[in-house]
Amino acid sequence: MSIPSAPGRLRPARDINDRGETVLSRRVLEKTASQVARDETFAGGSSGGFLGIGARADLSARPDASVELAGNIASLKVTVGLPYPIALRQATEQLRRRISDRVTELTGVEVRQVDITVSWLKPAGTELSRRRLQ
Amino acid sequence: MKEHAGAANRTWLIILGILFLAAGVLAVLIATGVLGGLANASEPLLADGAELLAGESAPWAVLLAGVVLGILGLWWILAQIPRSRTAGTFRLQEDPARGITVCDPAVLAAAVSNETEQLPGVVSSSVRLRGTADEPDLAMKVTVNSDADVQGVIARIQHEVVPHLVTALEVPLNTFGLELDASSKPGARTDGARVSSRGTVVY
Repeated sequence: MSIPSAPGRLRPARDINDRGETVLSRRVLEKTASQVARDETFAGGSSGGFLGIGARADLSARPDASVELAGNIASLKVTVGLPYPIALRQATEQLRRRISDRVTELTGVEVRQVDITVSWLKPAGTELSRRRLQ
Repeated sequence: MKEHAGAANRTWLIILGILFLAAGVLAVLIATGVLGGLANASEPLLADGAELLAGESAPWAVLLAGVVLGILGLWWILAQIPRSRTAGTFRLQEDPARGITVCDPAVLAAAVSNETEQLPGVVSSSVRLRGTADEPDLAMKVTVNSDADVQGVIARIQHEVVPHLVTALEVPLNTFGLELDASSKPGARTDGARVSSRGTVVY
């Protein structure tokens, strides 16, 4: 075995861009955002139902999230349900900060905007205890 | 809680009143002969009335006038139907750089209504929120039955239900209206009593 001396037979150093690319589907971002909202904040979504009919408010369900991507910058729209009573401005600001920080951290996509729509408010009582038991 | 066409009714009645008053004054003046110089009583008022109506465009003008009057009349009748006055979506935060937060006032109203119906003796409630997120107006109609302690219900609405809404919106209410109604129906159905318990779970 001889060490090849010709420089042409060495593996050429390549530009980092040529090593392939990772494509993150929009759906991944949406699921990440809604999972972060469900696990790390007070927010809930709706569960059950068929084709959106008969769905019920559930604090342990994942909120709906949709993402608009422009290059590496995302703007999110989330529809959440919150326990009542809660200071809505504070809670949604906390939710916005949490979603944007965690989605950026987990996916590397810069989150510029998080638009939040509060779709229902419900006393926390039973739902939270059910959530703890899971 | 409903919006009626009161202002439109007043405006149109004033306009119609002035028109009819003018027509009446004119008729009186003609009849008493004050305007005798203008219209001779022995001659027909519209001397060339037949030619005027037989003209080419006369039927179309009459038709058009009829249609316009008909549309105005229809609009006026439809304006009598009471409408619910609704508020626009509450914008809780509006920062285009970071995102906006919106909440439909009906969502907050449903939460308030839900909480009110948990009070003992309350049969039903209807809640409407208007205004803006910074100056909310709350109107409530609460139906109670004979079992209710009315003073107690009012006190609990004032000291529990309304403060919870104020907590949620983080601003004091601009106005608050409460209407109480009585009914013979039994109290609001509940799914049973909730008792919180603590204990150790053994797996």
